[in-house]
Amino acid sequence: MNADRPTRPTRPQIQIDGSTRPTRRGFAQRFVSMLALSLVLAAGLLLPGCAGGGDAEQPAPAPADDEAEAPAAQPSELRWGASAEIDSLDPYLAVGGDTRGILWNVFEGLLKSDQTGDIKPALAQDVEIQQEGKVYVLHLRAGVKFHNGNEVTPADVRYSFDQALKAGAVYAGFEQVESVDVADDGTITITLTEANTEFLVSLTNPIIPADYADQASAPVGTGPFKFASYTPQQELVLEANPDYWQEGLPHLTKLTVVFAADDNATVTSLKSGNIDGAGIAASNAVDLDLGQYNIVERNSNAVQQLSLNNSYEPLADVRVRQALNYAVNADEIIEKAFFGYGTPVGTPLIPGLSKYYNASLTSAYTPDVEKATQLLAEAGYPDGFDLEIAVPSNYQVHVDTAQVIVEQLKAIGVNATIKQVDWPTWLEDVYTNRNYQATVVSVGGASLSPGAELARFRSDAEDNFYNFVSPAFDAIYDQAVATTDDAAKVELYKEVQQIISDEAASVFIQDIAGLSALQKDFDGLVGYPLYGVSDFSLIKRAS
Amino acid sequence: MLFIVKRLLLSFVTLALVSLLTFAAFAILPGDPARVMLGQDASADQVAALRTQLGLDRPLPLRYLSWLGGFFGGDAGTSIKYDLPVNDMLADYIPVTLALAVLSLVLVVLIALPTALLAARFSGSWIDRLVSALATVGISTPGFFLGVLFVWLFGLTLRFFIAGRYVAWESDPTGFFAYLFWPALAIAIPCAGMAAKYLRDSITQQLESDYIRTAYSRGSSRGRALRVHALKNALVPALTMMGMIVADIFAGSIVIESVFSVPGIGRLLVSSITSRDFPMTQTLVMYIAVVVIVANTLVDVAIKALDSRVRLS
Repeated sequence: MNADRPTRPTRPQIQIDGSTRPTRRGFAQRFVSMLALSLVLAAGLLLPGCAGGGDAEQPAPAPADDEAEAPAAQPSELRWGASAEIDSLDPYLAVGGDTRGILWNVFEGLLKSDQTGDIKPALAQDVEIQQEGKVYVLHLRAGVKFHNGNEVTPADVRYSFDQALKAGAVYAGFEQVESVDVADDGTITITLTEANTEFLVSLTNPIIPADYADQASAPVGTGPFKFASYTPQQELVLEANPDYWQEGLPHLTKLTVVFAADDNATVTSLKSGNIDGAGIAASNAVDLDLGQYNIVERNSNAVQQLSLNNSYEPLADVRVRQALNYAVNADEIIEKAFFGYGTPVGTPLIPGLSKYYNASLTSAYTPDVEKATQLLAEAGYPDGFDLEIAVPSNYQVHVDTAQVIVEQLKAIGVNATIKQVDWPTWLEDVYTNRNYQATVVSVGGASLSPGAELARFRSDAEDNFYNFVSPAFDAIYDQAVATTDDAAKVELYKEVQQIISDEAASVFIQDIAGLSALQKDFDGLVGYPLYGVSDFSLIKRAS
Repeated sequence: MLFIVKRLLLSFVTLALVSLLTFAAFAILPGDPARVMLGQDASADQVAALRTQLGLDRPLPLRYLSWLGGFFGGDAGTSIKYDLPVNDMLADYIPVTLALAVLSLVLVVLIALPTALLAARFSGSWIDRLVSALATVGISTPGFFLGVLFVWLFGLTLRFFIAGRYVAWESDPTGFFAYLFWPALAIAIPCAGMAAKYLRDSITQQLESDYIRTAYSRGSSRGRALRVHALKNALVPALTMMGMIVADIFAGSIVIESVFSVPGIGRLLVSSITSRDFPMTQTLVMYIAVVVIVANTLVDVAIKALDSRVRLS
């Protein structure tokens, strides 16, 4: 536009030369005023955006400033990011690993796992194992209060055990309970149908107030944090429990769990300062500024695997399954798709169960293309075969892994393709109906009992989605569960893992590293050998 | 009057078709909400028990009919995933998405109208070509890409806003709109590009018609001819497009809400589909269809007001 020209009176000039073009200036003037109006309108809209942005910038660095000025008396809030939504606030309805990891801070059982996986007394002051693990006697700790101010009574314990017996799979192991007797003096006696020392783990089931019906909307437990509010898809606010029975805990005054749509949104929130910490994927950890965050690595306590359908034609031959084991290189997967974070395994049992975990199997199938090709040829597939790998598309880590595996299988002539399916489809087609060839997924870690973790390999197990059949496994597994001699139990469990490995039931890849990033303003984040658990009671502002 | 009756009937048929399609999609999709809720470790018995508890053991057509009856009776049922009444949840989620959509629409108009006028006024010049090029870039850039770009550029690099920290209307109305501005802009740009191009072509076409020449000969300036005569007529086809843009904005918000962690119906829709929450998904799809139908009806009425040649029958 002719902005350099002097302004003239605005009246448009009448054209008499026959040209239909009006003067530029007249239009320009009008146009400028029109544009100016639009801009004012637009600015009206834009400005709150920018102003809001300016304001919004303040809170992010603020906590650090506060801390510098008044280190002690400041209330300390931690904002923690989560990608998975809460599936229920009622601990006897919640099943998601991530949900239970968060509720772990609100509820406690008679016993509680410590960070090494040892089971320690919590709401019970002691536990005595009688008759080689058939009978368990506990004494209720006196004076412990629920978040509603009421003291924990034997009636509450009775009620909680009734819930646990009803909830079944959520707190595994209760199917072996014959009777629970809670005396009014707080002595709890649990008798099992058969001796099983692994049952100790099951006694971590939460103790909740008797006949309290609103757990799902306003949960009440005894844990270090108590419920304040929950807004689906936004946040769960927890506050410190002032009456917590463990002196000096928790350190934080407030804990807000912020829910984002996915891992990417969580990492964005972390970088923007919206949250102070979160569980993150390895691919995200490598581009975080390590000067600003502490990265805590721990096992996720689930075994990532290329699960094979043992009744699908080429895979029905043990030599074919062994060939796949020789072809898949776990170290390369961890390097390429996980930036070096992860623990390779050779068995479906998590390394976290170190007593029973058969570590020697990790090297059972050292990558060897020649051997793999030879095994395929022996099995009658000298030119390889086609293999469809179904991958749950909501797990980027499994999709990435499958891509590396496809490349590795090319080397032995197996033409693998990836079929991405959403999680409900995976659960139905692959897991429940076993209508698949191979899949990449993580399995396990729900309980700390090796028996429960390995049960799905029994030929008749309902959740044996591998269609794995081995009479030898079944026989030794049953012995392992039944034996009460601890040393023999360990040996037998190692032996069944050996069978799974020899039979190449599937390709067991790794225990994926569970990474958590926490701003350096805080410390005290520790890993637990339970899936998804973060113990927020130990986190405090860095001094 | 006849127009309104016909229009209502047509809307009703459209809604019925939309709900049937959603039902058909659910009938075909594999996946059991009870299994999704209970996870891998639950036994078949437990899944079956939950199915009974949730009423999932009834066949889907029956569930569809009972939902349909409830929906028209004002009760859209209970969300399977959240175990809360669908209507109560939507009362919280719909206003957020509507605010986002209205803001996007305002931005589309604010961007498209001036640029289209500018391009039409200088049609054939470098300004026109620049606007056309920018509009093409805008159209071909998906909203979610712009969303990710804005989060990175304005959120993480320039720190204009805290990425991920959604501000609720109740706690701070200004902050609410300030936060929604960025996702709204991401949704608006592709639509604005489309609208600007369309409007520009439409205006240029009008400027070449006889009545404009008559206006000139009567002494109108080009600007006056454009504003007083051409714009009104050019808006008719552009308005038709607005109906489509409203649908686009809703489609765009589904992804954008996840990128910006905005708790609206877009994000809710995604999570209810992935948890196979039938009553919730059905209701959400219906509400979105209603909004699009209402928007298109309003557009028709507006066209009628602008152009007396159009008969609404």
